[in-house]
Parts: sequence; structure tokens; C-alpha cells
Amino acid sequence: MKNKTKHLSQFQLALGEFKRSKRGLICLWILIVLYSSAFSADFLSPYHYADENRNHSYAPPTKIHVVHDGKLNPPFVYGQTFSFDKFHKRVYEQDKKVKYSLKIFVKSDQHKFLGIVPINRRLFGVESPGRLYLLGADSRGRDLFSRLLYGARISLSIGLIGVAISFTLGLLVGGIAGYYGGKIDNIIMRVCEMFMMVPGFYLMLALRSAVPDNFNSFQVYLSIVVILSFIGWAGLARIIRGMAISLREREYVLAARAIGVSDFKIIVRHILPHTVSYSIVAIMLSIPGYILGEAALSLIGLGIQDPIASWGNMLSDSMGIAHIKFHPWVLVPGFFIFMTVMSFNVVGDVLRDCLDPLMKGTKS
Amino acid sequence: MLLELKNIKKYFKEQKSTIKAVDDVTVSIKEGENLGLVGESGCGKTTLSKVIIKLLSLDAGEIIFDGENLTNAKRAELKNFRSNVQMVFQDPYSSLDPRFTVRNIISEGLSAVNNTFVIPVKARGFDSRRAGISEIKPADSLKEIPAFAGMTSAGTGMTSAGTEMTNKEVVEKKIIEMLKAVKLPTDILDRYPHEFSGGERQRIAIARALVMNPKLLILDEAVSSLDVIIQQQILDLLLDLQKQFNVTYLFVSHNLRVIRKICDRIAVMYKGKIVEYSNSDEIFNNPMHDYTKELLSAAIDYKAIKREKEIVLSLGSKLIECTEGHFVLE
Repeated sequence: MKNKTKHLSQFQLALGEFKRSKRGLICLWILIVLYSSAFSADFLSPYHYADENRNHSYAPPTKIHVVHDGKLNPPFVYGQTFSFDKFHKRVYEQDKKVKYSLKIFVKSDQHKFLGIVPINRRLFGVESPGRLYLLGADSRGRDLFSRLLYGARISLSIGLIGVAISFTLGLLVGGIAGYYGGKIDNIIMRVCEMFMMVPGFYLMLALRSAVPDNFNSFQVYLSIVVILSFIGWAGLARIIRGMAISLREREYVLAARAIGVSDFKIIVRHILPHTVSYSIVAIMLSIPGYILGEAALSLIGLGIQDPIASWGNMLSDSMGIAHIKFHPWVLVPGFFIFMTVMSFNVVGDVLRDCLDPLMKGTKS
Repeated sequence: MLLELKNIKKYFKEQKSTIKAVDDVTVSIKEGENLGLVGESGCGKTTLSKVIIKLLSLDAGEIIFDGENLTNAKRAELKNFRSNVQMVFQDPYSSLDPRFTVRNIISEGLSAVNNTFVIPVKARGFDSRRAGISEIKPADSLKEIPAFAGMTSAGTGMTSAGTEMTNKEVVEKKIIEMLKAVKLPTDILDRYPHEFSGGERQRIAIARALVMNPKLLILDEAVSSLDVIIQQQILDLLLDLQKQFNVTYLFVSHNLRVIRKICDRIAVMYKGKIVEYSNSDEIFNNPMHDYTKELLSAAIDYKAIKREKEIVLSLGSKLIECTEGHFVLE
């Protein structure tokens, strides 16, 4: 009777299945690393995202040395000087006379971790006036690595928040439409179709242009999240509606109605939970859309504004063949977008295989 | 009369044709007198029971429950009715939400009648001092709900420590009581429906319905999906529960043997109409309508009916009382 192992829930079974998938686990870890480093960007990054030094405009990635004058040293970097070549392009050279040792828990300016906890140390860095550019610098001499971490906060969180908003909306609207059926269903579905009819990118642009330009950066961020989730909910609502239509005829739903449970409670407790395995997969697969949407808006200068970093507006530095030719490190944010989008897709894909009852040959 | 149905009609409109699922049904149920509704599949039995419990709206007719006309009752007026009439569904595998524990399944109805059940209320002494309300006692507010009508605060509302029981405890006690009544072990509260057999599930479904303390319990083919031995057990249990809870059954089935065991009166339904309606003995010993005769002979010996083609029975529109309490459609 007390055989606990027999009664694993569907979720536990899926989790076990997931653990067996190598690519799923790798991508999950990539996401975990990305999100946790975005979370602790205040501490991990050597500079603030707006910390600029025009003397280092488009400085290449700094080399870290351990050998100086034939002697082994703790890790250090050389100073940097530049001259102009015949095209008037800056050429950076290492100044071997000055060296700045690389330190961990280096003292920095007073800043706040996540805007709450005041700290004055960063994980690593070099002492001023030395500059450490792990991935090179952008046009204003800002550290790309630091900006990447700070930008991750925006680019990665926009996906989660956007998905949270549009899924709440989509689940509820779809649940209501499917559960009630008839006229309500008809009206709601026509509205959904109106949203789906307009090409997403144009709708995004139109909505963005409706946002006042005197918004501060946080308001811009919020409005972008809202705009993105505004586009995404309709498709989900349609699918959830279809599932709700079949679920509402189940006898346990009838039983709940006969008992006198309110319609809202029935939708939330008896109908939506049964769409959860679909929803989890759909969430995983739609987060990349939000990340790309933000990147697209920021890339063309309509999204997050400089100096605040996001992967999209960092990429706008790389518009132009000259930038890619002479300082290819400005493309790094693109690589991270690619990694994130791919990881979400793979995780979603593996999850779908795990949650699909047919694949396991068991009854749902 | 506990329940009176007058000229109930329920039509389903298809694109071109109209299906008369329930066509002009008039029947009534006395308190304590179980009614069996019998007929072949598709004759409208389930539709009728769904109309009675207000899962389907009706196109014409009147539903009078306990002297109250509920034909056009609003949601709020139905609240009482919901706990007075309950239903047990045919398939115990789909009538219990697979994501709910036994505790949640049985207590769901209790929280539906009174929202306070969902939020556990602190013990009275503590609560009243903080809120400054002394007259609100959880156990008292429960008494107004039909499901708790029989419980007194002295009897079940107090713990041994002398403090008032919280709503949560009352609900818990009520659930345990129900499990005992349907003869299930009481340590299954946190288990899920898929861990039970069909018979056990049907017992849980019966407990879910009975916890509302209904006056009328509709059993829609409630034993049809169970094997014969389990059927017998459930039927015995139902008869037992009837004495214990003072509930009347409307037993919907195609199975005459089952109907006969449990019902005092039988209504035979055919193509949306009631063709014969009388005491069960009368129906079995002296069937009047052709369809009833055929149904009986089919049940006794399946070889007896050799339908080359479906016999078209012409159905009249008026029930005639041939002997006292025995109605036949002309």
C-alpha cells in the first residue's frame, strides 16, 4: 500500500526523462549560468555599464599576461597606448612599461547590488588608470563584458516578464472562451484573430511609436515588455481555448458545476491545470520570441536607449561592415542572443518530448 | 413531492434537424421513494438528469423542487438547490479530477457553498480578540449550510481541549465521516484518484455528492461501468446510505436488474418520452406498453428478441392511468 515510488506524478516522470537528455541538460545549464550571471552583474562585471573612457574607443580585448621581463608574475595587464594609421584608424599597442596587476575583490566605486544592497567591491578588475577589456570595448570605450552582463538583465528578463504577462492573459482569455463557448467564444476569438492578423513587427513598431518619448529608461523597459506581450497572447489563447473546449465536457468539470463551484474556479482549478504540460513547452518556445523582439526594437533604436545596455542596442554598434571588419568583438552580444535562443528552443523541445504522454506509451 | 417535472422539453438543434432528446416529460419523485429511469442508450435519460441538476438549460417545462419553482432560478437562488440535489456520474475514471487528492475532491463542494472554508479560520478565542468580533463562530456559520445542518457546536464543533474547532478541522472531520460512510479507509486523504480501483473511485464520487447532504441524489448509470460483484457492493452501500442520510435516489440505468433492486418506482423512457411509469413490481409483473415488454424480454433472455428490423413504435402524447399509479403512454 505504501509504495511511494509507484505514484510519481507526471511532472516527476518528465523530470526523470529530462535528466536523461544530454542536450537538454547542457542547454539548461547554459541558461542557468546566463541568468545567474545577469542576476549578479553588479558584482561580476569589472565596470559599470556606463563607465566610459574615450581613450579606449574600440579597444581590442585586453591580453592578460603572467610573464614580465622573463619572470613569472601574478596575472597582470599592460597599459595601452594608441596611434593613428594612414586611414586615421586607431591602432592600439601595449605599453610594456606600465603594468597593472589583476586583482580579485577589487575595490570600486560605491554602487548598489540589484539597486538595493550597497557594495563597493567587484569580483575582479585592475586598478585605475589601467583598463581591463575582456571582450574589448565599444565606441565610447565602455567594457563590452560588463555591458553584456548588465544587458543580459534586460534582455533575459524581458522574455520572462513578457511571457508571464502574455501567458496569464492568454490562459485566462482562452480558458474563458473555451469554457463558456457560444457568443463569448465567438467574440473573443475574433478579437484574437485581429491581433494575429497584423504582422507582429509592424504592430510592435506602431505600438512603440505610441509610447511617449519623455519616458525614462524604466518606463521604456516596461512599455517594451507590455508591447511584446501584447502581441504574443492571442496565439496562445486560441490553443488554450481549443483545449478548454474538450476539457469542459469532462465529467469532473460537470461534477464541479453540479456541486456549485464558481465558473472562475472551475477554469482555474479544473481546466487550466490540465493544459500545463502544453503551456510549459509553449512558454519555453516563446521566450526566444520576446528576446528577439526586444533585440530587434533596440537594434533599430526604438527599444532600450543608450547608455543603458541591452543586447539589442549593443548590437547596433555593429551595424556597418567596417565595424565587423575592424573590431569584430562588437558582435559578441549577437552570439549570446543566439546561445540563449537556441538553449530555450532545445530545452522546450526536450521538455515536449518528455511531457508528451504518447512518447512514453502511458496514458495521460 | 420532492421533485416535480412538468412537461420538460430539451431539444438539440443540429444544422438541419432537431433532436428531441427530452420530449414532454412529466414525472415526480416523492421523498424516500427511489425512482428508476430506464431505457436504451440515447433515449434521453442522461439529458433529463442533466436538465434536472441544471447542467443543461431546458427549452420548456417546469422544475419544482421541494415546492419551489426553480425553472428560471438565478445563480444565487440555485446555491441551496445545488447542495440539495447532487449527481454521481457514470464513469468513475473521468468524474474525478486526476490532479485532485481525495481530500480536495470531497471538500470542494463544501468550499463552494461557503468560501470561508478555503481559508482556515483561527481558533475563536484568538480570532475574536484580534478582530473584535465575538459573535462570529466558525461552527455557527457552518450550521446555516445544509451540509452542516446536523452538526451542533457542542457535539462536533468542540475539540477535547474545549476550544472551538476551526473550519478546517470541521471540514476534515466531515470528510472522514463521509469516507467511513462509504466504507473507505480513512487514511487515503492525500492520495490521487488513479491509485484507486473503479469501485473505490465510485465510492469517492458518492462521498463527494453526499457530503453536500443532498435530499435527492441522481445516479447516472452509476454502477454500469463496474463489474457485477462491485455493482452489488455499491448497490448495498447505496441502500445503506439511504437509511443513514435520508436521501432519495433518482437512479438512471439501462439495467433492469439494478433498477429493481433499488427503486420503488420505475419510469420507462423511449425516444425522449416516458412511455410507462409505475411501481416497480407493477412494471415487472404487468408491463403495459410494447416497449416496456420488449425491454423486459430483452433483459430476461437476449435470444427472445430477434429484431430483423427496428420495430417502429408509434408514440402517443398522453399518459393514461390504467390502474392506480400506473401510467402508460397511449
